[in-house]
Amino acid sequence: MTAFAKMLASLSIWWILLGFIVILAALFLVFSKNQRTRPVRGQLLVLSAICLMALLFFIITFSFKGSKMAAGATAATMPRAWAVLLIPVAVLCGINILSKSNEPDPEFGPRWKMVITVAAAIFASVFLFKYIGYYLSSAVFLVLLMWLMEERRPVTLVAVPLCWVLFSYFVFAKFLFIALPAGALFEAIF
Amino acid sequence: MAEIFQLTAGGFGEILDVTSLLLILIGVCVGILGGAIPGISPSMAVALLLPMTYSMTPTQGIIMLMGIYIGANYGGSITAVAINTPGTPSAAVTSFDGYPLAKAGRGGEAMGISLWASVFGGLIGAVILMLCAVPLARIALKFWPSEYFALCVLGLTTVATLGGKEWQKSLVAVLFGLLLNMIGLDPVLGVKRFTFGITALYDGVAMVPVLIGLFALGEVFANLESYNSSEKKFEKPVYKFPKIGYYWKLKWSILRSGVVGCLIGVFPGAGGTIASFLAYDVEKRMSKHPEEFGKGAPEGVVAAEASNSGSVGGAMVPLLALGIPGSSTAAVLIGALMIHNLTPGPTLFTDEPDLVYALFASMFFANAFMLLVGIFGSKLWVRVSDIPKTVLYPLIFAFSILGSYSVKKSMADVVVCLLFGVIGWIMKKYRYPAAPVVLGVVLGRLMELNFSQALMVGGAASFYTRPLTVVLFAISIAAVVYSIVSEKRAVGKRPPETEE
Amino acid sequence: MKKALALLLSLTMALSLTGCGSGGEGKTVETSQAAGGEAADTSGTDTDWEPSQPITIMNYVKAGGGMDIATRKFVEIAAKYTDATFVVDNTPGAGGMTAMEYVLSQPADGYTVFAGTVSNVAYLVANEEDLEKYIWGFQWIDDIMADPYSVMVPSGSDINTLDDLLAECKAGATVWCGPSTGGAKHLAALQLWGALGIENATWVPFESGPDALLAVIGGQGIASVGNPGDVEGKDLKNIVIATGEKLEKYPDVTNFADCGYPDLDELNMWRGFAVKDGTPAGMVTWFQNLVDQVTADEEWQKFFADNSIVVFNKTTEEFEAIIRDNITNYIDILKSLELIDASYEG
Repeated sequence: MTAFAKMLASLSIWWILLGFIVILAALFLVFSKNQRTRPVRGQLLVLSAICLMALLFFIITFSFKGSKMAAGATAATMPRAWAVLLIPVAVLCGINILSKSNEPDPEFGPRWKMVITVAAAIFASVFLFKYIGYYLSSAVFLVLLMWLMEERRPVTLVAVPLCWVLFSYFVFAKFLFIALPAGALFEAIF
Repeated sequence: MAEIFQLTAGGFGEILDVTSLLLILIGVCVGILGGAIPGISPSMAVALLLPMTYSMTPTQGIIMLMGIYIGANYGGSITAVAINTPGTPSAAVTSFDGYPLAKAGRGGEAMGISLWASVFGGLIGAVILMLCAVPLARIALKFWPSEYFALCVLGLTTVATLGGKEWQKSLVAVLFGLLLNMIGLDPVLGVKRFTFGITALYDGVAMVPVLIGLFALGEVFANLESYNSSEKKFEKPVYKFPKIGYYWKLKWSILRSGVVGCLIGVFPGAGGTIASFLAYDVEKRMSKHPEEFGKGAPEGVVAAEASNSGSVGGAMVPLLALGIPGSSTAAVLIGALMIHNLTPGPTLFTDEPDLVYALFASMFFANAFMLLVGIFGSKLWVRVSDIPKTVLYPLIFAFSILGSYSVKKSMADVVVCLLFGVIGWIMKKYRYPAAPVVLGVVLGRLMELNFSQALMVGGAASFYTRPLTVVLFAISIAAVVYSIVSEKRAVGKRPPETEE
Repeated sequence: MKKALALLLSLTMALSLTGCGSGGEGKTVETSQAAGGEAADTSGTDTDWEPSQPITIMNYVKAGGGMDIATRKFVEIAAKYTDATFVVDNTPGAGGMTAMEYVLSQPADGYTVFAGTVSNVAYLVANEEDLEKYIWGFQWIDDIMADPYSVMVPSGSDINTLDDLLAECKAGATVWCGPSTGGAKHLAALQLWGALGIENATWVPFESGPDALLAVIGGQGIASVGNPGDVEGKDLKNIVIATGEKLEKYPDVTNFADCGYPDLDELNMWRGFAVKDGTPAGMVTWFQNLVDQVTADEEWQKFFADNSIVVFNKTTEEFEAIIRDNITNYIDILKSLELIDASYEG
């Protein structure tokens, strides 16, 4: 157990995320097959993800080293307590989700693809801070999001990002002295 | 007692000049502006203007900072109501009902309530501070780790009222919050837990990015999902602020919440935040229409704001009576006093009585100014719903990123914010409430630390031999039992449930 | 309505302008007023370095913390001697590592200075971090003060001397309240306990120093280890202070030498400045000269004397020797308690 726990704890966050995605994808398939679970698979998946996190944490607690200082409670006590407490709660919640009176998952809205695009774009924009800097990256994101939302007035498309960049520069960088990432590109130029 | 009033009257005299009043006014304005910018916490706002006070007299300096403190605590509610973007955990409680109100086109009402509740909550806190600082400080000293732990348990019981119909999901959500809170160095031995080699996680998942993500971004994602560019805005948005008579109807809620806020705010740590949850819980239980909570109950906004502002007075109790800061903002005030070569603590009453009573008086002025500035300012803010969604939503994203970055100048926090935006969207979609997550994140570390400390200080016996602890546990149990019983009764009486 | 809106807009603008106006000069920034004394030209000929943009001093403590107050006071007094603009900033988190990482991520041009304390060293060692990066990635240029450790008990306690305390500790188990496990004050306590032969003592860690003091006042523990100035304004008293020379403010409190443990008087917390390794020597000299001037300033000396802190300016070589000493010490103590791995070397 300890060896396994230590291995899990030393993994990088990317491997952990990948593991989560694989297991949840498998569960998605399982839930989709069954008539009973299919209408509520979204609710079940959220519950599973939280349980999975609890399980991961529970296992990792076995990698914590003890200390002469510990008196009564150790670093593992509380995480284990919450993880164990989650078992009955998750069972209750699962029963409730599967009960007949429970409402099925809502349909995805008509624009769910846009939500995924926006989410991907915002992560990409934040990732690009390092390279093209905060100002350019967020301005591009603002234009992109407005375009996706079918804003076509040229004045708005130009004015909003411009005002935002000016606002964040003068209020945050100049007035509050919160230096925003300038980006490798601009650091190389200037 | 008469002496206190006399001395306070002297305090009013002390600051009744143009410069002092102007300084308080500036403080309040800067505070409100700072509080309304996500990522600028009240303590940051106070720290920002700290250097300005070097050239002032200690009294002038401290009353201005007090103005900022009071203003910033209210300012956070503006964005919580207008765009569901809470900058502090207590403001998150404001958004539970404030934002649904604004969304329903009752923005003026929500803004008005949060302003008046803040002002009167703040005044209640100031009065309690003035009259009871010393006895309250004595109670703070009697609060040992086992009592703090019991207080946290009591705080956790409020999850019972946060839930609603699907209470099982609330419980899962609160445990999710508590588990999240286990990330980072453990508070007792400093063991690295679930950090996966990321330094940014040593202090755990930061609060503000989680709040902004769960509430603001989660909401925007959810709205984008069914976004329709040709959709019109609210039918008839009510910007108008209610008449005074309307607030009068909320007087008992304001009084109760202000008192709860001040009393719980006395305890250093998460006092102010626990207070907002407890006050919210109390109001929901006292309410004749508890089902409206979370969907836009005026009392919900009152509970959050009056208790939050009342906690300012509470946090000043340990500062003045014991020399210990009651909140992180109070810690900055201690720094300000020390820079002026003053010693915070009970000796202030004897060495610098003028300053102490001027400080009390300034709390009254600051709240009065806040009412004036707030009435003008929030009339402007309530117009947020006039901004077209094609501009508003992109700006909320931009604000969220900037706000979560500003707290620690950390890109990791930005990623956390976005991640919780997606989590918030999914949770909202599948009807897992976000409020209990906040509760879990607020209480987790405090509970763990105090649990371990209680064991170290007095062993397991501290949990059942200390009267105050037992009383708090008893209240918690009673709260849970009461919820279950009243729910059963309600189910018995209610006709078969129909869809709302 | 339009009129009202216009009025509102102009009001908010005016307000934000006053905010800006006041903030721009006063806020975190200290623009020197160039008043109160000519900048004594001690820079000499060995350096031409002059700042051409604001210098940020990055604190790892929250605003209001000990080092934060020291930094702000420093900047306030430095304004007498230089036209340079300083920005005092706070990036708390991970025991200083967040602030350190921030400074290390900036160019080594001297415009970002790290304000550190011995607690950073303690935190890094206790977490078995890479000292090559976090300590020696910096040049530690000025150690500006020593805040002695002291043992404090509630004012009403029967314990008045170290002997009283030792008698109490020998009689049974004791609880001491203080800030975090593995932090500088905890490590100082461990050194004390070792030297004084105190066994059976438990260190109960609190979220912050003040929280721990509140616990001691409330009677949860027998004593705390802090700095002498901590007792001011609170129901606490110092019973012994680690200082070679008695402090003016506490002439009646013994030091460890009086009790027969002169070595323990060496225990103190340093606070100082560091810049990223590779910073131009000219900047370092410029800054060290400025620190010399501030250290010699009467207001600076009085402020810290009032707070029972000894001020000086120990520059790079002496400073880094102290840090190396801290590291060896801390590694030994933490290993003996099994708080860190036996293989950790720093």
